[in-house]
This record gives sequence, structure tokens and C-alpha cells, in this order.
Amino acid sequence: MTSLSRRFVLKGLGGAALAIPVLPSLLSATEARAQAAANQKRFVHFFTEHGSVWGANMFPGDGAVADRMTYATHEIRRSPLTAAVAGGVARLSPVLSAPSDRLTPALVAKMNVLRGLDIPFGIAHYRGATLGNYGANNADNPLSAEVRSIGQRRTVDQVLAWSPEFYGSAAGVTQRSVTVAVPDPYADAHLSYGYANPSAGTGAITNIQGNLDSWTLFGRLFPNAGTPTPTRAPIVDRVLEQYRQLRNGNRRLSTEDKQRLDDYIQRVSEIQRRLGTTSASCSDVTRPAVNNASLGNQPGFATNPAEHARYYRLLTDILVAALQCGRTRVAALGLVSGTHDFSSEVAGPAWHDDVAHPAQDDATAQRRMVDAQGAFFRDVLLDFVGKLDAVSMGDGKTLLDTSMVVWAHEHGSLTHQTTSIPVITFGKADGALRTGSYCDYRNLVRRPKLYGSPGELSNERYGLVMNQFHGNVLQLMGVPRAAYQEANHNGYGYRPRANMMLGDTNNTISTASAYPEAIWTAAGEMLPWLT
Amino acid sequence: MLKNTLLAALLLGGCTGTALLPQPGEEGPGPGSDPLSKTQFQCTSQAQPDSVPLRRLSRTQYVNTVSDLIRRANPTDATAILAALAPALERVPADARVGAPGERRGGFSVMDQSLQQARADAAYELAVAVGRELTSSPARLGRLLGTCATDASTSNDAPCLDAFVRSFGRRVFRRPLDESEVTLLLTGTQTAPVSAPVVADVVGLLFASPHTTFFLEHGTEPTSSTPRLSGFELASRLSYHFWRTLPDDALLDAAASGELLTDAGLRAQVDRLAADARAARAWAELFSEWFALEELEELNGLSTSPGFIAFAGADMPNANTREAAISDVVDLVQWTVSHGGSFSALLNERRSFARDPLLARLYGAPVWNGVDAPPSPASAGRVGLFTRIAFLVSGTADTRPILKGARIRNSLMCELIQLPPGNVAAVPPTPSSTATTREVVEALTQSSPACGGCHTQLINPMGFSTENFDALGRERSTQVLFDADGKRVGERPVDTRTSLVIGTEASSEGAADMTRLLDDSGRMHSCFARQYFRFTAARVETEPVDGCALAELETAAQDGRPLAEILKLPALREQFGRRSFR
Repeated sequence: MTSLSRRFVLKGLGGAALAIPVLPSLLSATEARAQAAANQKRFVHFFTEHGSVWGANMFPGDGAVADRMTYATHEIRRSPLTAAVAGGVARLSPVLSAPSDRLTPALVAKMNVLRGLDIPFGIAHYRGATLGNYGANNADNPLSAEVRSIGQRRTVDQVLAWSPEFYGSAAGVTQRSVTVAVPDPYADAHLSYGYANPSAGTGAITNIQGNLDSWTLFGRLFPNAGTPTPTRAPIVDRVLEQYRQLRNGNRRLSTEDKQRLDDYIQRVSEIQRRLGTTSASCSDVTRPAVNNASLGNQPGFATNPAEHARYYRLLTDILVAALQCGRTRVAALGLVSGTHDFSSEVAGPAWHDDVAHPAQDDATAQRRMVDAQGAFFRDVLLDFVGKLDAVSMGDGKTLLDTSMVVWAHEHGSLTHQTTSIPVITFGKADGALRTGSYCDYRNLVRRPKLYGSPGELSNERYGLVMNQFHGNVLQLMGVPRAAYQEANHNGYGYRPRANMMLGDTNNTISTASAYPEAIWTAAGEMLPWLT
Repeated sequence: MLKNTLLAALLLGGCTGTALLPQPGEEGPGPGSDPLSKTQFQCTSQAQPDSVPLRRLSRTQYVNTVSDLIRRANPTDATAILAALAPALERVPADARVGAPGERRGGFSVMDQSLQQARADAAYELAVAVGRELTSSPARLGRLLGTCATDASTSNDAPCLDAFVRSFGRRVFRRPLDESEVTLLLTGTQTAPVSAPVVADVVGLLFASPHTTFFLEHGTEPTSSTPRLSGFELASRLSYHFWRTLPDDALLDAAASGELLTDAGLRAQVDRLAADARAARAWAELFSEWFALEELEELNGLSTSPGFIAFAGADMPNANTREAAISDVVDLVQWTVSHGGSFSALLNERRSFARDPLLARLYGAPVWNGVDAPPSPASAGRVGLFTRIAFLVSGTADTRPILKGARIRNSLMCELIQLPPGNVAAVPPTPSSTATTREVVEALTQSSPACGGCHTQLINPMGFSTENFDALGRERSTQVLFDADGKRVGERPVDTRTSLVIGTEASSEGAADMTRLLDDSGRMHSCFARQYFRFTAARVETEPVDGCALAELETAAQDGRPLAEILKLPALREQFGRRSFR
């Protein structure tokens, strides 16, 4: 993709082009450099439910291993990431394939494929765990129940959102983070979690309700788009004063009442900050003409992969503009199976039964899963990072160069499998992240014993822990370890206790056996080959 | 002896489906400690339970409140104003359903007390938008404040604004404002000449106030740890309990006069509130969430799939069918409540409330006009709640007996059945071209001890009982079998005969027997009591402190008292009029 023209027209909307007049060229070179000079890293996380893509379909072939080393408890490997091109298609793996003019060598060079990162306990479904809140899981085994009880943590997007080191004054930022996900009716099934009082870092861990409506997303990121600049002072100061007078007044309140008032006062203070910040750029952004919610009402939408991609691009296009304009620097996107599954054959509840689960040992279901995940990669993720890479920051870097974009599945190569959760990254985190690698962190001699049939199961191996990757995200974004320090390891988030048995067939594998102490000792380090 | 034998059998089968039994180390009596007992709750304590700290309005309550305030502030333009505010109202985040610890599904949105940034943002933006809309023209300003705001004189502007703050503020805050609050609202405000922006700011401040978005309860007895609520605090509790919105003037007046704090005054208001049509809101919310109606799949998602087209035939669902199926259940609830029906009546009501032509056809009944007595389906096979379309459809061409059974056990009987361990659920039933769904499910789940413990005795039989209805809720005696391309390849008889474990084990011919056994057992009545308690208290019960409230609801439901009467019971309890400070 070439550099964007004066009017940044985001296409790909089935003929109904979305015109967002947000242009690199509207940002003067000085302005762009000024933004880049500060800590202007961005973090975007994509989460897709299930997974269940066999290793051979998800990951590049072993190919020429360039580096081997012993790390923690075992040998790990790295290969340079190179796409094979044939028939106009660039291919890293069956899922990681796209037309060669989109999955270009330059883009591949800004990409990593990570294998061998595990969630260290049994899972059924989770969303929050993909970003570090292991407590947001619904597996039915003692360890998972224990993790639900005492393993609740902020998700890393929320750590970033409220990190002074990451955000500084948050000037011009309208949303510290956005959570783009189906508004799940249940509290344990969300993507993002934060403190009740995130600024103070106090209170219970609570879910953050997502939203998949593109116009709602636009309204949150560009709240004043199309409206004249207000001439009156906002009332937020006086609203805040009402809360403070109540909090500090003479009327009887319990200690917990006051705590909740404190929490809410912090929320109103955030509104005050936002209204007090100015954003000169991107003031003429207009709302896209099409709301993605309207697409879902079309007949046949459920089995129309092209429309599914369009549905999500209506969201990611807005996100590109918001990242470019500095309206936010953190986003978490959770995409849901069953509704927008990029399948022309199976949809709705049948997706779960006919694809997600059978994919582990049924070739047809596996093919459908590969097609679906491949379509997401090609038509949504690659489209998104390509657009980021087309935005020049004015100092030789692109918006993608300053960003870290992550795509992670919910499960490993078998549904509900905890090992080797696929992690794909794009972007260089403003130079902090080394890219262009396929890193295989698995211990090839340590196998799990889990339910299921032979076949793909025989390919599963224990590896390193996702806690290390989550900690790496924070390190790459400039968050000091003190902001998330755990008592019993240096990675991020909850560490299951050592003597609990994992939910394997014979209940014979303890967490200490699967993930020895050396792995947790290493969890505070950057993963090899990422820096 | 029978009960112990039965429990032992279940546990040997690997199933702890009676999770509400006291667990080892827990003290009894707990719910369901005797599998043969009809009652699960005991009244042993009259202590005041802990209050939910600084409870906020739920999304439903908040949206109702804002909407009703606008209707009262400007009845003439309310429709246009609410239309203009629709995007801002839409941005108020949905509440998550919060259940009891250990429950993975269930619970009520009113129990979500999280204070999210998006919610604070939406509340602020909505308050500002309300102010702007209510004052967007001289006419609207006049309707809000009266002619004193729009006449030529400026000398009356300050008292005009002051009077508005006091009168409209009383409605918004659900109590009179004290002088300090009036002063705070008008501080920094240019009161003369009064202008639309000034009034807009004041309205915004009223709507964004903590007194509007939270239930602020200070109590009336400063030294008591469980003081009585003030009349206005009680009025709010009553109004949101019955109507899910703010008090009307009559209720506020009863609070102001002190009448509400008398037994007779309270009972009079409770009777009035319960009889009001607005009480339907609470019932609809309670049963919609208890029955998890929002989880009903879209029914037209496979409308272009050859297999589903072949299955549905002339009954292809459309974009309205899902909502129609939900409305059928909601209307059932409303009809039962408004016509003096009991919980058992709701369970056994077989008439169709389908206003949608397709849904009515699926029922084999005429379209209901929403007013007259609902029509009965042609077939006697429609026996009650479990044969309603919303409890039968799956969104695919295949029924889901496991999910149907688990839903009855988990949600409707309040028995928590553990999830399958690890990846044991990795092979869901696959539709067959040679076997019925029941046969497929039996082969998959009842052949191994690991699965059979729960499935054979607790889950599957409940789901098999309604297998004489297909995945669109059409009655059938045989199951038509299709191949993967949607080609009809066979037909096999369906079998609804089972052995049901509901306290004791009994044979069942199908849905009618299951409904009767459940009704006789009182299990769903007890579950209803538990769910209704959580819904109205916005918290999970704590026993024994809540035992009396639960036992009262359970007894009323099992005794067949009208649901409309049961709605009143919590509001008439002594604890309802108090809060705790601990």
C-alpha cells in the first residue's frame, strides 16, 4: 500500500466507501514529530474465540532453524519469518496466507509468530485470560475454580490505560482504552477487566463491558465530531463538586458507601480530564455513513464471510483513525464465534458443535476452521495493520512501527487446549520489539496428557507461560514492573500454585511438573528473540 | 432410605448435580438437605441483612427514570425529545448478569454494581443532552419552567429558576432538596435574565447528580446500626421494586405526609403500586432474565443453508421470529400475573400468546390479539412452559436435549450440575442420517461412567421429554432425518419416555408428566423464590439471615398464591424499610 493521499479514504466496504477525512497530511510534519517524540506507543489486541487450528495449519513449517538455545528448562528455536509466494499468494502457513501484494515481505518483516506460550491451568472458555486475567475463566476443575477465586487481575490493556508511564498526561486522548467486543450478559465472560478505581489502583477487579457497534465506537473516540465547539464551560466541575460535597458532608454513609463514591469521583475526574484536554488534529472527522450493526440484519449475513469482514472493518477503520489522531492508544477487540465466523457453511450455534469442537479431529471441520481463521487474518487483521503501516509518522516511521498489534486465539490447536496458544504480532512498539521471527518456545520432550483422541494431540507440548508474554507487553510499552509485581514470580498475573493437579486424563500432572520453577524465574525476562 | 440410595447412585456415577446440598464441612440445614423435602428454606433469624453499599440504578432503572422524567417535564414534546436522546440512551452500557459464586450462568443484571468508565461517561453525556433538549426552544423552556421564564419581565426570573430547581429537583432526586443543594445547583448561575443555556446546565446537574444515579439511603436513626429509612427513601425502594422507575407524585406525597411510614399507609401504597400496569416491567425483567430469554439464538441465521431450508420448509423463521418467541413468554407472564394466576398456573399454562403469524402457526393456534383470552393450541401436546417455542428452538435443524435438560436442572430447578471435566465435552452430538437426536445423545453420553452419571439420570431425561417437538417447536411423532446436503433420507419415531429424578425417581411419558412432577415437587417454586429474592434484593441470599424472606416466598409459591400477591411480600417485610450500617 502506498502512502495515503490527502483525503484518507478507507475503502473495502462493499462499495459504500467510508470517508474519514483523517489524513497524515492533515498532521503537519512538526505535529507528527512532536507526537512521535513522546512515548506514543500503541497497543492493540485481537482475540478470537476457540482456535483449534492444528499446528501445521497455524504455524510456519520448521524450515531452517536459525537459532537454538537452552532457555529455562529446555531448548527453544527461532526461524526467520519468510513467506513463500506462489500464484500470487504469500504463505507463512495455511491460516497466515494472503495475496502477495498485501502480505508483503516488508510487512512480514514487521511480524512475529510465537508458538509455545501456554495458559498454565485447565480452561474451558475465557476471554479475559487472553489479556492476563486468568480469573475470567469458566472451566470446571478445582484449579480453575481456585483461579477464579483468587486469580482475578487487571487485563494488560487496562494496566496500560491507567499507567502514567505509558500515557503521561494523556493529552488529546478521549478514551484511554476501548474494548470492542460483544456486550456479554455475564460478568465472567469479558475481555477487559480493571480496578473499581483504576486511577488509584484500588477496589475489586471488575469487568469492562464491550461494545461491537461501530457508531458507538466512533462516538466514544470522536465525541464532538460534526458539532460546533462549545462556547460554554462544561458542567463537569460542578458535577464533581456535588459528589465531593456528598462524600465529605454530614449525611450518614457507610465506609463502603464512601469507597464507592470515591470510585465514582475518580470516573468523573476522568471525564473532567478528557474535557479539559485539547486535540487540534482530526477535528473534521465525520461519522461513517454505515453502522456495522445494520449489516447483521441482512438476509444471509450469518453465512456471508465477505460481510463478516466488512462488519469488522467498519470497526477497525475507525480504530485506525483514532490511533492516528491520538484519541486512544489502547484497544482490545474480541471477536465472537457463532455470529461473525467467516464461514459460508456453518453459523450460529452450529458453529460450536459442527466446527469449533470437531475441528480437533475432523478434517472437514478443521478445513472450515482454517478457512475462517484465514479469512479473519487476510481480510481484517492484515487490512488493519496494512492501514497502520500506510500512515507516516513523519520521521520515517509508520503508525504500525510505533504500535504493537497482537492476535491471540482462545485455545491451542485443540479446542480447550491450554498449550501453544497462537500469538501473532505486528509492529515494532516504537523500536522496542524485534520482528521477523517465528519463535518456537515449546519443550519438544514434555507432553501433556489430556482428554482427546490421538492425532493432533500427539503434537502438543508444554512450553513457556503466557504470564511471560503479558509481562513482555508491559515492558515493551514502558510500564515498570513495580506496577504489576507479583509476590511469587516476575511475569504478569496469577501463578497457579505448584501442587495443584492439572485437569489431565489421569490427573497425574501438577502445575509444578508442567511448569517448573525455572520457567517462572524466567517469566520476568523478555522472551528470547523479541528484543 | 430411598433418598440416600439415590444420592449414592448419583455420586457413584460421577455427578454432583445436587450442588446446592451442603458440602462437606458446611453446616445444615441448607437448601435441599432432604431430597424428599418440598421446602428448601427455613425461617430462623429475624436479623437485618447487610445492605448493598451505595447501590446504583441498573441500566433498566436508569433509562426508565430518565425517560419518565422527560415525560413529566414536557409531555407535549416527550416523544421528540426521547427520539433525539435515543443515541445517548443507547450508549448507557448494558449491565452484566451477576450470579451466585459458583454459578457460571444465571443471576440478574440488577446485581451488577460495577462502576465502569463507560457508564460514567454515558451518564454525564446523557445529563448534558437532556438539559440541551429540554431547553432547545423558547417553547420547550416555557413548558419546563412556565411562563415566568419566557415573559418579557426579568424581575421574576430568579424566583422562577429557584422554584423550578425545587419542584423539578424533587422529582429528579426523589425527595425535596435542602437549601444547600439548591444553593450548590444555582451557584455560579446567572439567574436573571434566565436563559436556555443556564437552565440546560441546571438540568444537567440534576440528572448527573449522585442523588439521581444512586440509591442514597441515610436512614433516620443516627445511632442505630439498622435504622429505618426515611419516607422518601422508602418511596424510592418501593417504586423501583414494583415499577423499575422513580416514584410518582402520589408516592412522594405519601412520603412527605408521613403516611407511608404507617402500616396502613404502606399497605395502601403497596396495593396501589402492585396493581399499576407499570408493575409489569418488573415481572418481565425477572422472568426474562431467569429464563435467560436473551440467550435465545437468532432463528433465521441459517436461512440460506440448504439443510435448514429443507428442515424448515414453509415455516422458515424470519428476523422477527426470535423476538416473537420471547414475547410469547413475556406475555404469558403478564397475563398470569394480571389474571390472578399462581406460579403453578404459569408452569401449566398451555394457551398461545403468539401475536406473530408464524409463531401462531407453529403453535397451531390463531394469532392472539393481545387483549382477549389467548387461544389454545389445537394439540394437547402443548402442556405448559416447557413446550413453549422459546424453550424448544435451537437456531439449527436439530434439537438440543442436553441443553434443554441442563437448562431445566440448572436454571429452573436451581440445581447446579458441574460442567464436564476438561476436554470431555470436545465431541458434541453430531446429527445423524440414521438415528434420532435422542439416540445420538444416548450413544454419546450414556455409554461411559464419566458422562453417564449426570447425563443418564439428571440431564438427558429432562431434554428427551420434549423431543416430540422439533427444533422449530413443531410437534412431531417422528423425526425426519436429513443428510449433510439437506436431502431427506429417513424417518424414525421419537421417544419421550424417561425416568425422571426429581427428589425421587419416577417414570414419565413426556412433557406432561415432567411438568406435573416438577409442579408437585415444589422444586421450581423454591427456585422461583430464590431467584425472585435475588432479583428484588439485588444480591445473593445469605442464610440464615435471609431465610425468613426466602421461606415466605417459597411457601407462597407452593401454596398457589397469586403471583401478584407474591410481588408484594418483600415490600411488606420489616427489613424492607431499613438499611444496615456495618
